[in-house]
Amino acid sequence: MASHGVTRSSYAAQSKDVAARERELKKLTEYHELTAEFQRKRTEKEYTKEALDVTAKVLKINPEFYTVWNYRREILLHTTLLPFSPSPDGVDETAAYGGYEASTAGLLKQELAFLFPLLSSYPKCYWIWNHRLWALHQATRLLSPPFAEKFWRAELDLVGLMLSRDMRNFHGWMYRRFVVANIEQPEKSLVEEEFAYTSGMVRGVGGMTNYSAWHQRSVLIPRLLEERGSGEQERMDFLEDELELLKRAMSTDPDDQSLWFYHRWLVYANALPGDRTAIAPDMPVVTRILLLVDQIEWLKELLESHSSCKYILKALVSYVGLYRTLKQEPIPDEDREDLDEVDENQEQALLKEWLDTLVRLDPMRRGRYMALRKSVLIQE
Amino acid sequence: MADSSVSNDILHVEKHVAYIRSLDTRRDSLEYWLTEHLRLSGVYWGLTALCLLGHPDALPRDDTIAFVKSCQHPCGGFGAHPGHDPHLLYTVSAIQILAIEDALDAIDQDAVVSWISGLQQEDGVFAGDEWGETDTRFLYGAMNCLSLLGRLDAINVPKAVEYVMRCQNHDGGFGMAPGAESHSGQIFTCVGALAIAGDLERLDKDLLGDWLCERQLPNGGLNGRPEKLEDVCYSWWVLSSMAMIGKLDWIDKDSLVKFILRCQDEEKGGIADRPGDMPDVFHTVFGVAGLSLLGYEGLEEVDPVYSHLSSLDFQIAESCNVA
Repeated sequence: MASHGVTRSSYAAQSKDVAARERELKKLTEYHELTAEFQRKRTEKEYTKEALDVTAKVLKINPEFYTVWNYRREILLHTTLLPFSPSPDGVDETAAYGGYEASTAGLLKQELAFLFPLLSSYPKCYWIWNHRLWALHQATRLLSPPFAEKFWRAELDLVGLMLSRDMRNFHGWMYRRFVVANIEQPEKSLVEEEFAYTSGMVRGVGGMTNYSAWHQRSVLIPRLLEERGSGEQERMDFLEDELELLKRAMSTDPDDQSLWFYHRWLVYANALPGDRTAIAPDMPVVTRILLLVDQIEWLKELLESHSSCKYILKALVSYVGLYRTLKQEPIPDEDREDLDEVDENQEQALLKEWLDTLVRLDPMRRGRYMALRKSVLIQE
Repeated sequence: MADSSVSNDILHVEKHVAYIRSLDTRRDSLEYWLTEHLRLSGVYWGLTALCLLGHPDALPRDDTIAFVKSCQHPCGGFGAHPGHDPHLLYTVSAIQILAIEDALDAIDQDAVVSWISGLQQEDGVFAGDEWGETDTRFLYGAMNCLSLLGRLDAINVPKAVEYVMRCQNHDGGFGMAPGAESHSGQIFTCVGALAIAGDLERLDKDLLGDWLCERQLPNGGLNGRPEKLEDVCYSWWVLSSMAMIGKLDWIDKDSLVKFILRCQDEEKGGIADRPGDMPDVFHTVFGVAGLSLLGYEGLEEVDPVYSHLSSLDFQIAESCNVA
């Protein structure tokens, strides 16, 4: 019903193939038999190993059949994934618990092993990811904390593998955040490890263009600096390093959107006061202005070698507008002399030239540039 | 195959109507049965497309209502098909179908309201069903349903709005949960939820509009995230979000219209994700809705917030190919 990326020509060729059609009808009969068996067992509330096998067969053919996942969980909760109950006749409870834990862990491993090939074949199927998370929560519910943590740790490796196959799979990224949140404790943070993971990602092959990794980085940074207890100087150094990293990436590929959205965040969040995601929130206004001027000057340089890159032009227009807003803030007299005088007419002429070029280079977004024009040009 | 005698410069209304009407006759194909878990949404997509195409009566009304009723569970929620468990995704489709058919009184509305309100969590978000998966898709679905039923009073709307705002990112977009990457489909659900709550003023519209207008690619189509391929279904999620914040003129409408038209199956009807691909009812409705929002001549007008078209099943868009 929703066929992404199946070409009409390949479908037509397949439809004309008589043998393929016969195979389809055979599969159809098998599928009907299986789903009928599933519905019958479910109606009878059958919670058995046989019923579990039926769910596995249906799900291997059709992992989108969400009701079958629900039934599978019901079966597991009724049969094998039961809480530990000490026997009343005074047998050694510790030994009994050890046995219970080992067998429950074995069952959970089986469940995860069943899911892995499905996830590899259908990496964008919500229901499989959900069921996997559910299985891991069973580890937390039934096993002792250190034992359960082993499951979550192993999962972090798995999601790393999935993301190395498809660096933009947002299910994978979401899942990674869930897994990390389940490992973290008030006294045990993974923020350094996770930040290092995004560094590896964005510095790796093809990583610069990985919007998902840049996004994750932007989410982690405020917490990272908070947990490091970074002072203002460390925060400013951090910001400079981050801008430097971007500078290198942007000089290599200035047409990559991912970099520009991240750059915009760094520039805006740290230029305007009161942004809760700012890296260095306590910079005096003059420092903020000088930092912004640095970026503007660098972009002007970059434009010289990439004169038809619309992202540079758009950033320049926005940042010059931002610069004008910042200059409205009260600036102490002794700081004011650090700032160069700006010839307003010249600035307006430049803005106008950049905006004209933008409309010429990227006529599809003319309406967007006209709105930008209205916000930065004093008069026309 | 591309038939040079039929041009894709125009919308093939009659062929699309015939295509949608034919969908329920394909019971000898494996695909028909492998997609049973979305049947109710499929009916909703087909019906909405037919309404927009000016053929609201092309599906038998009584049969449609009877089918919807057959999917309701005693708890109030709807499954995708008889024998399938209740889930918010299909409950939204059910309520939307009944709203279109003006048949909301055919079901026990109080049961639906109480089932949905029971899915709201402490932090304001909604679970999709009793198993507890949460997502801004479900939050939007719950608000959409309850507002169609005139029962937003049954939930905590301010808390839902606070949750939506926690999902906003520095790029102005929204993800499926706080901290999740911006995604056009999730943006649609979050902006839609704010629109229903009357809280659109909380958005930085220029920032969000900028991210959204950058979804348009040189071939006119729209993608769902940066550095991704274009796809017809995003013409709905991106466009309706832009319409809700008043930024529709930030993209090139003509080239998007041409892109959607190129994705038609000019022989058998239906619209695909990209030119030359197999059509399906999901891309057909989102393509037609996109054209309607772009003011394509001869189509009924679509509402960007409820739209009679708002089911959030972009889950399908990201999902595995079921064919």
